[in-house]
Amino acid sequence: MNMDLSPLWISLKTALSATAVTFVLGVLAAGWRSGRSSRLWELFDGLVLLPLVLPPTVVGFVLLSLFGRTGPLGQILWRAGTILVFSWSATVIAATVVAFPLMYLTARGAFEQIDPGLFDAARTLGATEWEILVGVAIPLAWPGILAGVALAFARAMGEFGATLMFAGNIPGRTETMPVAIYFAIAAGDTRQALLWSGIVLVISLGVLAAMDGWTRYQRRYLARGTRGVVRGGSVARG
Amino acid sequence: MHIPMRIPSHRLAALLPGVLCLATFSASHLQARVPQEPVQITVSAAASLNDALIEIDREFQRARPDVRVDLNSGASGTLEIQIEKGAPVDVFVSAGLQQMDALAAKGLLLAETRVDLLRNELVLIISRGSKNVANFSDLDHPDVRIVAIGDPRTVPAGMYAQQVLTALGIYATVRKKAVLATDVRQVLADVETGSADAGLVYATDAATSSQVRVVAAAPAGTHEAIVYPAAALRDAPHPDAARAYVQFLRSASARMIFSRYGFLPAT
Amino acid sequence: MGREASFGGEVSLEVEIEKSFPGFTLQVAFRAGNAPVGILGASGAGKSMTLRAIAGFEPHLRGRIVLDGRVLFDSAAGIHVPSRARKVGLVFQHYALFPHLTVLQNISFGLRRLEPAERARRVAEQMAALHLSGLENQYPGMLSGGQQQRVALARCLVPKPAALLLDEPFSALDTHLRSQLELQVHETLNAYSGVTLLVSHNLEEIYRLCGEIIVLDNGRVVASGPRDEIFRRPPNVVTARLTGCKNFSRARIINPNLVEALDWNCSLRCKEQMQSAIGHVGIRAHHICVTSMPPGVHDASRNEFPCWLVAATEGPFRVTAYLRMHSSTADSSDYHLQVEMPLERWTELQSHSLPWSVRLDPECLIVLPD
Repeated sequence: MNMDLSPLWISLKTALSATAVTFVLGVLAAGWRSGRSSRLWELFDGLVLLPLVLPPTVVGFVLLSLFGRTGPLGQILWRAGTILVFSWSATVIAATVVAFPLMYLTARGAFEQIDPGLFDAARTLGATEWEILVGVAIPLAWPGILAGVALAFARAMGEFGATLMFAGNIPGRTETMPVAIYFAIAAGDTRQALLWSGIVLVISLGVLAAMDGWTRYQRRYLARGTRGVVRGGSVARG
Repeated sequence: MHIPMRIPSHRLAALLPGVLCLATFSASHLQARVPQEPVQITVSAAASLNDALIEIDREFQRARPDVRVDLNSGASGTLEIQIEKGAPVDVFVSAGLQQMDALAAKGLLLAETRVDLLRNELVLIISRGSKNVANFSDLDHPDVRIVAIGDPRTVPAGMYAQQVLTALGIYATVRKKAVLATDVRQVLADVETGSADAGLVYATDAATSSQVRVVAAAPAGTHEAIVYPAAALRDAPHPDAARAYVQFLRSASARMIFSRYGFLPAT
Repeated sequence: MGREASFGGEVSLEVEIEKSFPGFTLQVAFRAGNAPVGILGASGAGKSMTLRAIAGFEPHLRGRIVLDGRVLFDSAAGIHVPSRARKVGLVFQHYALFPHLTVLQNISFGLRRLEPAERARRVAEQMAALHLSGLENQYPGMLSGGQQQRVALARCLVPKPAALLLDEPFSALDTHLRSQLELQVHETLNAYSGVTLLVSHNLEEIYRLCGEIIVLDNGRVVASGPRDEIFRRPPNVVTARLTGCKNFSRARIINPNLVEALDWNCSLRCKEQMQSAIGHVGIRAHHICVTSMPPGVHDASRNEFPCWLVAATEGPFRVTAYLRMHSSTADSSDYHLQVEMPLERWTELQSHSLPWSVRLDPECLIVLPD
């Protein structure tokens, strides 16, 4: 069967990129946010929840309004010579926006589980807030953060409504697998729809299984009372 | 001795795919607006025309090898919004006049390029197995419990359905037992599975499903002409290529391809 | 500001802080030199809060903290040096060791910016001093309580802080381990040359490790000075109670050396002079002598009185007896004095019938002006 496989590659590229961006932004935001409280942060939390609560089409509409040539950010980009709408980058932006709340909330939960005394101890030992985030908070919250990454990836893979509105449905450029599935159904080609659905399922399950395996590997080093030295003479952090 | 602050190497490895993707992403972006040969135009077209346009684009490519066509398929309403918000579209082919008129009112069209391209018919469908509906006025009957139509506000086929039913005087009754779909595919699915006793779709849509039966076509004069307009856009990134494309859509070879998919020429 | 404590010797730490929130006000002022200073107080008195304030973890603080001539905090001048720059080491009550790092990595944590060879040397030196050699690659979860405490100490000391704060360092340990570790900590404190503050509610630990003591009650300093003075001549009832005195009676002066103990229904001769008209008199449980003198032979000038046993609790080596003076009673909560004596004494007394004779040595009576 001669099927155009471009949605597969586009989806993979998009989902991986979006997950990477979401991971960095989500962990940084969650790290900064944990343990602090102010009106501004509460406002931020409310904004972050929006893509989770609103229908994705609305999210897409908002992105379109911002980045279209008539929109505030769109005008700035237009003068700089870039158009985001209908570009591949738009698929990444749409996927990132909808995946971010999942990563952020999960990471924040993971950070807030850590005994704050550990952070205080690190501060008395001269660590900067950045060093505490990278050296103490992230390693201890790692299983939770990974769960957030898995969630974000799954969401990015399955993103449809915002992508369609903001990145359009352009085969070879922005037609992701969920979009391909939708239009296959619309055209009455259920066979193709099922094929794509199967591929999405296999990939998502594969990634989740990998994450799960990694978490179990990690957890061994964080469990209290584990016996045995890690690896020969040098200590493997991890 | 390992210093606790550095990120361990296997975590860095995990970030690698993300970093590569970010690199690709930024690289592909820097080329956004630099004009290159060949010229690349974006055509936003109603989803129902997708298969036909893919073939037509291949023909167009042969005729004009210097122009590359990116086909953006979607619901006419969504496509209209994208254009209004400044998406970089060269040509718009809509499944209904409403969306095109809205753009015209906002002055977003190259008015002289606007043309009524195709026409369609509204038909009444029932699932293969059922028998009790023979024409539009049967929809009034209490035995017909659920009728599927597109949402008249957003789906062109739904708007025309409303017109037909109003002309026949049965809109109020049918509306009470109507399930409104966001697109034609949903209407087809509802009728195919028997969730709806009958549905109203375009003739071309009905042709895509083997599990529904067309029992009647909308009587003449009960609705506005179902027309698929096409136009090049005022803010088209490549107006000359856009014009050429619209012209090509009216050509004999394009017409032949359209008719194979059940779309009749408008004139 | 409340009472300010000041000790002799060169002053390295000056603290004058205040913090209030509904239900509690902290108002502490003291100066400390390089000898270990103990902060004694009941739970909730503000001891940990004081340490945390010095380390820089208490928000909404007012006042001033100066360490080795550096102003760490001055609310009036808007100075608030962040914790990481204060060079204050804090040993937390539950150690706060990083569970994802080995012992070696934990102890080296404060020296990240030092070049590796020097860092390794200092860490090894400190680990040897605290008998932790060999545990480098263990994780905190694998260590015993005593080992964890020593790792926490080592981690604190390695960056050579200007001040060492210990928050109830022994409270998380099993009792039988404590004396061993006390000795270790004592040695360590001797070797350390900065300001040391040790917080505890356990008076014996404080007495053994610290030369000077500050007593906190309800957020305020109620007593301060050399430990012997605090223990032998506590300046108020709260301090006396916190230093373990169990017997108190309201007292009224008759003449400077003679007080009427209102709760004990007797007059007592005191060596120490009572300064105020009304106050309290107290005596420690192990300073009371109980003998089996025959009745009728009680010398009031030596504060001897007949007593009856109301209740007793026997321990493996010591006995606590609850006595009532002058007359007997059936009510087991109606006692005047709580007396501690060795088991042998108790056994010997048992063979004699009541009443026994109790003597409150004038030299042991503590006169309290409040």
